[in-house]
Parts: sequence; structure tokens; C-alpha cells
Amino acid sequence: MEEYILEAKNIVEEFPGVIALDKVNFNLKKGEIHALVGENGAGKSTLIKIICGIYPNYAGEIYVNGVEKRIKSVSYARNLGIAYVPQEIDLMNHLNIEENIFIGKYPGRLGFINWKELKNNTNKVKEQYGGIALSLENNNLVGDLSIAEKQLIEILRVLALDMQIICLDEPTSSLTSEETDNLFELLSKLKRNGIGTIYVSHKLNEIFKISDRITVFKDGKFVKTLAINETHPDEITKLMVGRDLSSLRWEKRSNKIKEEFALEVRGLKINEKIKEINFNLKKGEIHGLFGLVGSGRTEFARVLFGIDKAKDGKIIIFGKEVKIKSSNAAITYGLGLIPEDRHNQGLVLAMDIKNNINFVIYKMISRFGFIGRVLESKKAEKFLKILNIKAPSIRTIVNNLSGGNQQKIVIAKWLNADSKILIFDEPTKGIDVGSKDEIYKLIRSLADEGKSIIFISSELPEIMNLSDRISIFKDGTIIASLENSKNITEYDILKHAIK
Amino acid sequence: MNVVNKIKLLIFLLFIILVFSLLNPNYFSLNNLFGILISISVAGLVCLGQGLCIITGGFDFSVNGVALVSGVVAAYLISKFNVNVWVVLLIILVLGTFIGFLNALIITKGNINPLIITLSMGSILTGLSFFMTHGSYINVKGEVFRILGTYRLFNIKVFQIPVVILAIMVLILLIILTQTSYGRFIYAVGGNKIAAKFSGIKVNLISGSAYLWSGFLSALAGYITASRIGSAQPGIGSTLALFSVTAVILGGISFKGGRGSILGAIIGITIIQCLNIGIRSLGLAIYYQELSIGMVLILAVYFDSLSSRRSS
Repeated sequence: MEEYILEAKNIVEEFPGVIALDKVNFNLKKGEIHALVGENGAGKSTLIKIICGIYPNYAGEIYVNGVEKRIKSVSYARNLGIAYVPQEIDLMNHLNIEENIFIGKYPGRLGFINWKELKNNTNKVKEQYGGIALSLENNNLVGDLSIAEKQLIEILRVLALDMQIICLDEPTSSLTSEETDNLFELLSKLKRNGIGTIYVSHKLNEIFKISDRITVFKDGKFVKTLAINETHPDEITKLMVGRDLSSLRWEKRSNKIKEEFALEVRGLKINEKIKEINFNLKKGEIHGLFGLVGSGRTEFARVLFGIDKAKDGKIIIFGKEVKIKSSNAAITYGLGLIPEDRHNQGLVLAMDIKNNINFVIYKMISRFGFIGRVLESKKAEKFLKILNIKAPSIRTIVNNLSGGNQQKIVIAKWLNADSKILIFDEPTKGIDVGSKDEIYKLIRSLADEGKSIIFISSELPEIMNLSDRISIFKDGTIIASLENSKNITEYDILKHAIK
Repeated sequence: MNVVNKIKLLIFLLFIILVFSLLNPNYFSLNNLFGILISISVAGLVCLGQGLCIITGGFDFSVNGVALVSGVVAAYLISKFNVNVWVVLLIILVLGTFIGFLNALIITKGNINPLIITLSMGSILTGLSFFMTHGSYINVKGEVFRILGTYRLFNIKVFQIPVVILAIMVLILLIILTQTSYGRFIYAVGGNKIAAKFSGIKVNLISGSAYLWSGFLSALAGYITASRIGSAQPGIGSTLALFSVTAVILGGISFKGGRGSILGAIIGITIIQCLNIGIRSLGLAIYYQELSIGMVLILAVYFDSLSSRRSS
């Protein structure tokens, strides 16, 4: 019987409307790197957040070194020796390296810091782990470091605090391959020191390089735990896929798609990471964009909508080459964006439905600046009905609506503006299952009516059920593009995105 | 701000008037109430501009500087160079709007906190005013200069020009904010800058315009003040910035932006001036005013934060 430093049994986590984790099991041995994989929404991040004390309201048991513990807070988890390195590193940028590593645990007396000891302690930690850690100057401000170096500081911090379990959430998503190698070197040192690592990632090739065991989650459920030398990436990919979220099935819509392009993008360069995007969208088509977070999809959408500027490349809309300098220009060219972050980018929450639906067209329904009040209300009423938005009246403050209804308001805004090309960026994020279905049906009926749609999502099932064509983003470019059909499997798509 | 809150404020206002009337019978005299009305009309103009700035999610702490420099420049031009009074008024209004434009330009283009910029601008203008006057009065001779501050319409006392001007400005801004697309954009930008940008609204143009209004209205207020007393005095109105912010937030305009009505700002300044003049009428020292305003501001911000927490 092997000894587990961490054992989670029958963990259940419920969020409003969703069961994020359904009786999952997970364990970790001393000195082991245990990878946790699954599609978006499978529950990986939720589990490590429970283990690290961020979600304290879970059901089930967690044993640390064989003793049952109720992990009720982050500081409690830290006291148990469990540390969390989030995807977005959060350090004190204006403090230097030693001050960051030992924050909360400065050596000294009566609140006065013993700087000499702090320096010694920092050097000790650095020497212990060697490698690139030694190249860092103690006095450097953390704000001046690269993302990889910040991550290193975060990990050194964990070591300085004598942790026995470390949870890494997508640690390589913004690292170069060299930086990734450095990280792996560090992780193997942690392993030799007996520290257990929980490693959440999408990148199977990296996982197979570094892990000892791998656990697959699907739809909030535990699927399988395998030793890494007894499996291969194909098997894991197959275990991950096969979820279903919707009653909507893919169907052939080719008779509704025109041959001419609504939008063409040639050689678009956005920044040093996103160097060349070639893309086209036919009239009446739903073109799905799949890719992991950080692959460049959202950046692409932002450039199309004039929020950020492209460095190079051509954008052609309805046969005319255009320069999209602002979102205002994008709107004039017939684009509408249903953004990923509904609350911050899509809606003015403190204002009512009528206002939110009409923002884009206020100038058009005004005479000498005065709003046509009757027209304004009529438009709002119309879309309330068409989109089946459940609200007491058009004067209801948007903040008081459910996520699904809020999303419909954002969509209504663009229908009201008569946008011809609609960009949906993760439109069903944080929306309950019933409303998701409604949104899918809405998107399809919009395409049937002749709108051209870019559908960005990290959820494979919805991409596959809805898209006429699917393009896969990876490392800042579209690496594959395929016509959707009944025969395409999730595996066909995922294999491009995660390898 | 909803009707219930406005009624609560009015009750609070009546309560203040009642208390001071009981403490000092002269408080509720026609003369005194009239004095309160005049003081509201001048400060009210400033509050309208301040209200617009705060609705768009900003602040204007240069209002006292603008008002001061306007009075001084007006008096200077008329008494030293004999410039026509109405031309001077025009120059002053352009000057105030231009200062607002400078504020807007630095805040929106430089993406700098409006508090810092307008506070510095206010300080610069105050300094300039002292520089121009050498710290003393500039008296303006002639009746024409005094028309705007002291004349009355139809010879009815309540229709003093400053009161009429405020009423007109309130009406204009009320129409703009409730009936025009520009007004809707002001609330949208204050409520959520990013969503407004994502809806194609020119965010910098809209939020910047509030400072132009504020500069214009403060200049008008400064001119009227000088016109009332027939001279420009550096040092007058130094509390205007704080008073206007207090009045606006007290009146239910959220300092987080995007919420509130310009009418609320007028109710707010009414309460504050009733309080100020009440304190003065009791013969209490001037620092009691600042003390009470400070307390009112803290309470107003506290209630504002409570109500926005409740609504989210």
C-alpha cells in the first residue's frame, strides 16, 4: 500500500445551475507529478481550487497525510503545506525578489525586518534549486521580471514556506519552450525533494515529458487515472472527449451558405506572438474558431472589431478592403461583437434594457440630437419579443437579469444595429444549460436569415454542433481548417489544438 | 436616483430649515430665504458641471480656480482696459470652456486620474488670480457690470438674474440628459466605459465634454459672483470644489459614475447652502461650516456606497 500525501474522495462542488464536480476522486504521492487533464469545464481547475482552499464549500473528504482535513481557507491550506501557483501570477511588483519570496514570513523581531537574514534565507533557497534561480539578483524589482521569472519567484516562494504539495494551473501557457524546459528542470528538483505536484495543463506532449501519473476528468466526473508509461496521448485524448451539452445537433446547412465572402483576412499580424492569420467567412456561414486560451482567438476578434490595431495584413469586408481603426468603424462596416466578458464589455449594467439595446443606433433614431422616444421603445419591445427575453419590462435594469437574458440583450443590440457579421466570443460562458440551448438555436436562425457568424469557443461540443466550418487556432495562427460533417469527431479537432 | 430618495432628501431639507428656524426666528424670514436662494443659484451652476463630470466617472476640482480666475480676468479687463462688459462676458465663458478643454485633453489623452489634474489646474488658476490681483481687490466701476449679478426680471425679487440663469441651465441640461443621444452616452460612459467603447461610443469625446461644461458653468458662476459684489476678490469661493462634490453626491449622483440626476445635485446644494447660512445665522464661526460639510460628505459617500452595493 503506497502512502498518499493527499487524497480527495467523493468531492462534489455545485455552482448555481451547474454541478462542477460530481463525486470525483484524486490522490497524490510523495515526490510525484500528477497531471490533471480534461476539456474546458471538465472540473480540473475547480478541484485544485478546492484543494488550495479557494472554494471552501465543497462536499466530500480530503485527507492530508492520511488525516481528514476540512480545507476551509487559503491560509488553512497553506498551513497544511499546500500551495497554489495560479495561471495569472500575482506578485507585489514594486517589491524586490527577497521581499516577495518571504512575504508574510520575514525574519526579524518586533516587526523590524532582519535584512541580513532575509538575504541569507533567499540565497539558501536559490542555491537549493540552482539553475536559473541563481541568475536572479536579489534586489531586482519583481515588476521588471519576465512572466517566466515571476513564475519562478512564485515557486521559490512556495519552497521558502516549506510546502509539501504544489498545485500548478496551466503553468506553461505563456512561456517560451526554453522557459518551459527551465520550469521542468525545477519541477524535477521539487520531485527529488519529495514535494508532490498537481499539474493542470492542456498540453499533452509536455505532460508526457514530465508527469508520473495522469488523471482524466470529463464533465465534472472522474474518468480514469493512468500511469504515464502505460498510456499514450491518443488514449488520453479519446478519454477526454465525448461530452454533450446540447439538444441541438449538427446539420448540413450548405444550401443556405453563399459562395461569396462576407469577410476575408490575409496575412494579419497582430503582435510578435500572433504573426499570420489567414481566414475567410462566407455569407450565411457559421465559422467556428476553436483554440486553447492564449492561442490568439480573442486577440483576433479584438482586431476585427477595431479594439486593438493590427500591425500588418489585409481585411476585406464584402469585397472591399478596409482599415478598421476603431470599434465605431467596425460597426459601420457591419460588424458586431458579442464579447467574452459580458459584464465589463457588453453591457452597461446600471442602465435599463431599452438603453442597452439602443446604444449603437441612438444617433440614427435621433433628430437634432433628440431621441425618438417612441421608436426607441418600439425597437426594445420588438427584440424583447423576438429573442424571448424574460424581463418585466424594457425599463428593467440589466443588472437584475439572468446571464442568459443578459446575453440576449447584447445580441439584440447588434440585431438592432443590423450588423451583418456577428462575432460571438464564448457566448455561452457562465450561462445555464437551458439558456445555452436557446442561444445556439438563435445563432443558427440568425445564420439562416443570412447573417455571417464567427463563433469562438473553447467548448468542443458546441463548436461541433453549430459550425459549418471549423478553424483551429494554435500559437497565434490557424493551423487547420476543416468542413464540418457528421463524421468529424472531437478527436479530429483536439489533436490539432493540443499537440 | 429614484423618487423615494428625492423625497427623503426633501424631508431632510425641511428638517434643517425647521431646526434653524427654531434656533433663530430670523432664519425663516423672506430676506434670509432670499439670500439662500441667491447663494444656491451661484453654487448651483458649479454643481451642474460637477454633476456632469461625476456622472461620466470623473471629478472636477478646478471649479473654484476657474470661478476665481474668471472673476479676476473680467474685473481686470474692464477696469484696466475698459473692454465692453458683454465682450468680457463672452471672453470669460470661452476662457472657462477652454480651461475645461485643457482638463479634458490631459485626462483623456494622458489617461491620468482627473482628481490630480483638476486639483493641480485649480491650484494653478488660484495662483494666477493672486498674481494678477497682487492679493487684493479689483473694483469695477459702472452699473453695466452689475447687471448679471443684481438685476431682476419684471422687477420681481425672486426673478433675480442669477436665479433665472440657473433655472435655464437646469432646464437645458435636464433636456440634454434625458432626451438626447448625447445624454444617454454620458450615462453609458459613466456606467461602463469599456462596454460603451465596444458599442461604438466615442468615450473620450463624451467624458471630455463634461469638463467643458464644468469649465463653462464655473466661469459663469465666477463672473456672476464678481458682478454681485462689484469686484473681484482672490480667496473667495475656495471651498467651492468640496462643496460642489458634496452637494452632487448628497443629491444621489454616484461617485462611481453612471447614476443620478442633475436635479438631485440642485437639491444637494440647497441642503448645503441652508446648512451654511443657518450656521452663519447662529453667529457660529466659519469653521463650523467646513466641519459640517466634511461630515455631510462622509455620510453622503457612505450612503452612496451602501446603495450601489445593494443594487449589485
